[in-house]
Amino acid sequence: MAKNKFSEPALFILISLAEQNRHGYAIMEDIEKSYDIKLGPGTLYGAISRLEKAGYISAVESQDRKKPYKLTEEGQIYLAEQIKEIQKVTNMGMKRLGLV
Amino acid sequence: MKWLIYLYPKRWRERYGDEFTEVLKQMKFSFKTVFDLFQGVVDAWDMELRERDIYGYRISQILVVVTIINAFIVINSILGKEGVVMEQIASIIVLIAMASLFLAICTFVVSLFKFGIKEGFSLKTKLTKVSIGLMGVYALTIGAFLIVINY
Repeated sequence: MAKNKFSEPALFILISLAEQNRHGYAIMEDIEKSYDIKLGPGTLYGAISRLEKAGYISAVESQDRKKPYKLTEEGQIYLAEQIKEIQKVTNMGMKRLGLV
Repeated sequence: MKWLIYLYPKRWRERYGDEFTEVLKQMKFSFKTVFDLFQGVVDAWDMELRERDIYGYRISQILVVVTIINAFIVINSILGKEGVVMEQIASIIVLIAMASLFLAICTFVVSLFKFGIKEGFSLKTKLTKVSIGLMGVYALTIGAFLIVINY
């Protein structure tokens, strides 16, 4: 599968699900609590459907109308790669600013 | 806000509709949320159209159906059917024409914003193709309207 570059909201969702399985509203709350960013429902479900199509998250079987999502193995690998990429950028920025 | 869900593609509603409605129930109304939902609608349709390989055929099928209906209306008009009925038909087709033009402009503007001016004009994007299809519907219906009112 081609490695898509996902948007910031998609990364926030993956990080949220890395901690535990969550349904849509719980993901929104977690993102707001962790980063002080309020994701709108349209943005949230746009990102969820892209991530699900890419196979990085999947819905957990549930009787409830609120379906929880979980991070798949592929999603974990992708998230780890993305975090390493971000870390590289951050390190470079810090170095060039003389902060390290 | 819940009615906005009907603007999403059917396949998307079937998959996410229930949980999306649950999320909306827990949210307070705000213009920011409504704006976000409209963005979500455009995004969902964009994904939907990218996945439909047969979409080009569908637009052409719509154009064929519109042409047949218009031809039928024009023939009836030329054959001199009752005036009142033809006036009503003329009003309906002019409304369809205006709605098509409006949608064509909206889709084209969305395409330009989403893909940029160069690609938006290049006819490569499905949104631009949809816009041209709707322009075709407009041209056909307005043509039929002009014939009907002039006979």
